[in-house]
Amino acid sequence: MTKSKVKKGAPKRAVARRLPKTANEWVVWFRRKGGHILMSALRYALILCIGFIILMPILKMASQTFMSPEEVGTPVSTWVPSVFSMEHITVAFTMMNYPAALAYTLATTAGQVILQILSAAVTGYSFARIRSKGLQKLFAFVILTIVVPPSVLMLPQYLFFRNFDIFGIIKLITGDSLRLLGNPLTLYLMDLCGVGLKGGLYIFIFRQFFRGLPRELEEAAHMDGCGFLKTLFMIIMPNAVPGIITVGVLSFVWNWNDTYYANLFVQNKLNLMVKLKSVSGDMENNLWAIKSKVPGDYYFQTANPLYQGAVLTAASLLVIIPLIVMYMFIQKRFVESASNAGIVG
Amino acid sequence: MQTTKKKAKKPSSFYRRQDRWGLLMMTPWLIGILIFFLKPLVEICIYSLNDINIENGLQMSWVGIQNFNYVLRVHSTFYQDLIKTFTQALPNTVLIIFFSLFAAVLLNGKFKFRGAARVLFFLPIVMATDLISIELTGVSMGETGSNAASETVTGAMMLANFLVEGMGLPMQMISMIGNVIGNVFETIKLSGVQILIFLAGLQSVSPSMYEVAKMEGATAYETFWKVTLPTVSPLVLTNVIYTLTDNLMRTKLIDTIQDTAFAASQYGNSAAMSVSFLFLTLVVIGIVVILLRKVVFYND
Repeated sequence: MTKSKVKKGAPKRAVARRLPKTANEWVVWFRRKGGHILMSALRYALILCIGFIILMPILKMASQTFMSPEEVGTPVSTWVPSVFSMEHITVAFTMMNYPAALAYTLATTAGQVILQILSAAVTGYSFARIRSKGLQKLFAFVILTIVVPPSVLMLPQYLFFRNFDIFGIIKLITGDSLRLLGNPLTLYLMDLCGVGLKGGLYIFIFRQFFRGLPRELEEAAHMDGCGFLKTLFMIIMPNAVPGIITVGVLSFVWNWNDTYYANLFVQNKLNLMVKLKSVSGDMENNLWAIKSKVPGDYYFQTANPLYQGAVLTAASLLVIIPLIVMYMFIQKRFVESASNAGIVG
Repeated sequence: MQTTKKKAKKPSSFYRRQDRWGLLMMTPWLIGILIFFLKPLVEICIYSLNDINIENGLQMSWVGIQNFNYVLRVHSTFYQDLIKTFTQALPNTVLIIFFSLFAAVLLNGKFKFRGAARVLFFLPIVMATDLISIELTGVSMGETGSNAASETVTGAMMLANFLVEGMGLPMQMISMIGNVIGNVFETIKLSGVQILIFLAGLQSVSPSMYEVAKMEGATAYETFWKVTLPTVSPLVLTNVIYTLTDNLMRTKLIDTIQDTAFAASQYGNSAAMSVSFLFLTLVVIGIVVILLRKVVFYND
């Protein structure tokens, strides 16, 4: 400020407007602008605080993962490690059989996401456009699937998949019922029918979204001789990108993080979350199992709970890193589409 | 058809065809609902009234309400856990709704770094896993003794203690305040989707409404209560249902139910647990919806 004052060429008025001189002017200026400045200061302060709370666990995990094993649990460093070490993450990497598990989990999750988007979009669209009152009442079942905790139906579903059969047809052909347990097909089947993990919610989101699209769109398509399917896939779906992104991200995240369905129906040890859960139950033996694969100069104290904890943290970090990477790529589109067109009830 | 009568001008064949196709496209879902939802729903109710053995095929023997008797009266923890699930979920829901509405209002205006702030606030959606909380409270953090969360809580509790004692307020206040503060981390973690829903609602408030309010000389405070809040009030209902179900699904009752069935092989008891949990869930959500329906304001 003082610099611009000293400058001779600078017009006086502009300086005066920017910064009031006398106390009286200050008061006037503050009355006009003070509230606004206070409010935005408060806003930034709150956002920073909440943001810190959100980020803290991840930062803490990262800090602990890359800390050298001797340092964990000592007051030498709480946030920034004094010596960086890759030991925890390397051990976790080996213990989880990471590349194979990652590939498997990515593939199954991607399949589930695609099926869920497809089924939810088609069902949601039908609900948004169907005019018959009786069929509209079926929407109550969508709400019911959202409200009923899936774990309540665990037992019958488990038994159903244990002896899978469609009205006895398969038994007639092969002589025995299919054992679908331990096969990701169970999840695909449920996703395809729109009753997979949180399937009701996705139908709900798509229905709300499609209701917001003008009917004239389809009427015009009809006039131009488009059939129902062609209208749906050539005209409606390209317009539903925000809905697809919202549901896609949610579905990916929830399927990725799901241990319930994966544990109950698939039980595949390659699934990252299932693996993490089983590993966390018995760290010591899991660490022992990979002893031969670990370089000799490693700290590797299998019985030390602090060491176990740090390796577990590293393993959890490995599990959520793909989610963070995915979010980084899609965050802009996701925030835009979700907050502008996503879920308006 | 009723609907085509109303709009007699338009080609009725188009709507009739849409209806027919709509029903056709819905069939996979209808089948899914029947096989994977309604059938298990009925089955679990039947199971809960029977003694189940699945050694070779499914064998049932009718025992009436004996399973419920055992689960609710004899079982050592189930009843308490059931009640606790609901007495925790309801206050949590209230907290999450208030926080997420507040956060959505915070994120709604125009300010620098708004995009970054939104990305940050939606991060908990992506991190929607119990992993992190295990990490923070479990072995690793607990033993390093640098548990920031618990430090904050103890500090705040001491302050609350001081304030309440100083002002002569009832001691129950302390535990209430403690609950709220202790839940801050949990609340923020579980609020992602709700913030998203509220933010979407806030963005759909038409600017002309605000213009009118401004012309009529309403303050920002009045505008919020008279314009913003009524417009997003239907979303409060959506959000409450979502939050409540989300909270209920996180209960450790699920582990109990799963263990009773698959570890202890008491399938009938497990089914009775499921049915009691389901029944209470539906009743509570029903009551909440009925109560909220009266408050919600619909524009159309």
